[in-house]
Amino acid sequence: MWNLLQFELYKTFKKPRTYISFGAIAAIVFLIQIALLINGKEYVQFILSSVDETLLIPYAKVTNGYWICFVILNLLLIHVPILVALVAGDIVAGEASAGTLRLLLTKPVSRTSIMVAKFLTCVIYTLALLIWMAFLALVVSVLLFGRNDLVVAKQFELLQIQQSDVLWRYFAAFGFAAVALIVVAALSFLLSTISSNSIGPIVATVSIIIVLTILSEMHIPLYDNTVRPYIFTTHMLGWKGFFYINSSADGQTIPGSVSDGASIVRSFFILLAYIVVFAGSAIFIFQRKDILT
Amino acid sequence: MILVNQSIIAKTLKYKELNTSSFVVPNIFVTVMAAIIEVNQLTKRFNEITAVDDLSFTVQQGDVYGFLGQNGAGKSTTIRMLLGLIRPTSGSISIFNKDLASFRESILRQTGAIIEKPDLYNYLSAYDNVLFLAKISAKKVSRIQVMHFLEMVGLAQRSASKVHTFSQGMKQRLGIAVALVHDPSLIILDEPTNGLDPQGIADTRELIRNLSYQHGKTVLICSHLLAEVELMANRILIIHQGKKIVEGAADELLDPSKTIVEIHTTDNGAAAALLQSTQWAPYLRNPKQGHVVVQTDRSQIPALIKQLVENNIGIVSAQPRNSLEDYFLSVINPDTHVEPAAI
Repeated sequence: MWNLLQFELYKTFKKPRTYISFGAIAAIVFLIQIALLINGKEYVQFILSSVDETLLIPYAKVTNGYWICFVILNLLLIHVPILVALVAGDIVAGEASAGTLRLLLTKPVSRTSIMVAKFLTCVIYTLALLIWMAFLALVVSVLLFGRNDLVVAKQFELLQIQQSDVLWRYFAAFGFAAVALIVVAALSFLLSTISSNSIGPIVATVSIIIVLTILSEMHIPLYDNTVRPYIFTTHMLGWKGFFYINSSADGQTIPGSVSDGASIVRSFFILLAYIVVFAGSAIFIFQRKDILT
Repeated sequence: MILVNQSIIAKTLKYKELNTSSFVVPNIFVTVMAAIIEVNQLTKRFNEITAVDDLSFTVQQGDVYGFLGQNGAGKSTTIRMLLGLIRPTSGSISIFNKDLASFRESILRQTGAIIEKPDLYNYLSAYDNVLFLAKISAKKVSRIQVMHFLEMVGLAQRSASKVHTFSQGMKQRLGIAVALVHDPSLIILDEPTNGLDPQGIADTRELIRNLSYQHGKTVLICSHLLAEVELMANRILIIHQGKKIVEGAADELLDPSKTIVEIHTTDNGAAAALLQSTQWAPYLRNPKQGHVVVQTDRSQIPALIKQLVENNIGIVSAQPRNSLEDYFLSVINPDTHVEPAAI
């Protein structure tokens, strides 16, 4: 199993396309950082224009590394699924179309082992992508912009989290985002198992995410109680919950608190269930698949 | 299953000459052989299409087994079933006396294969391809061993090159190295000489012969180059439209005592009438327009020609045919070819 996983990782990280995602994330993060470094104050004034009188800290302190990381995560975590699908959608179908899948299957390894190794490779790639994003968005932003309290908007309310209370929230948020992105990897992996070319699963994954995200965001009564609570895109943005902090009666935020922890836990387990269903289905289908390519 | 296979005695003796550690029973000239592949009533249907239909055959240890058929005859489907890539609709496959469905991994540990064309990891080097595919075959290989296999197929100088820079022939040779690196007892080769130049074909033929004669490997070879198979195989199976047409020892199927001779004469009608009225009458076969066809022992051809010439019938050409290609065409298209000798 270790040999298989080692081989899968070696193959994945030997392909130039694997690094497209890392390059894309670096480019976007650096562009955002440069823009905020130059026009940070204007940007803050623009997005907080309706509530700026309630702001307790100066603009200059709002545009700190923690806040910039939060902005980057909001912008990027919607699009990272596309980058995850680039590798996960190709991992089985790409080998099927290249003919190497049959080469692999003539070796004395079980189909389950091959699929587990491939799925673990998708997971490791997704985690590597997220760690790369965390490094650029959090570490580099803190180095460039320094640290301060984090101010986040929750609907029409501004929440100020003390800087000493921020870091653990980012660790938790990245952990949650990892699970959310692994759902996307598992979906793409499943579609890759069904298809014989890699473009199909990548396009199909992106299409599914777009459709489901629209359903999650639309808040139409028809879907609110029937579809929305059960689709994974509704739960993928649960990471934001770690930044929604409780406030005391006098309006002060309570360090270490999370306003709706139960909702985060529920979303976490729903996402885990999706991973099991998608990855399990992929293995089940592959076990019975005739390799004709 | 243990069988006595007389047809490979000659090869076993040759093996004995080459490898003194081999086991041959002295003075008896019979070698006890085990069946390596046993296929029983194998059928594969894809919706309405029956690709393989009730196919049964046996490959014995040490055989170089030629598996022949036209495009679409069901060869590749059969080979894919032998390797567990496709699940049979019905029937059974036993390899090394183990049921393939239950012991796939154990069987594949002793099996090397090239299917149709050697699709390798183009973005990896030749060395990486051999190394990693050996590793996942549960075989610990050193750098020296990997280089030995690359040397064997003439690619040692290009070990660090990415496979996408290779010609089709080089990929084919690398595919052979990948198939052999874990030292399998059974080698399944589907079109192993595809894309090779004449020297590459000759080298591959020599390699396959050595694998069988010197190393005792069992080889199942599928090729459309019938002349190549004829030079290598000791047993032959021909399938057509998914069904077995004939299976047997090559030297029995291509028996020189049943050579078909096509004779073009200056007067074919007179020649046919003459032969019909002589001792050659039983040997005349479905004459086609433009020539006379006789099936006889190769050694009798001069006498046949002499008799025609003595009766003032000029000989334009006499073409003896008992190649595998002729035999193959005669069993695949019996209506347009002369009848083969009884098998």
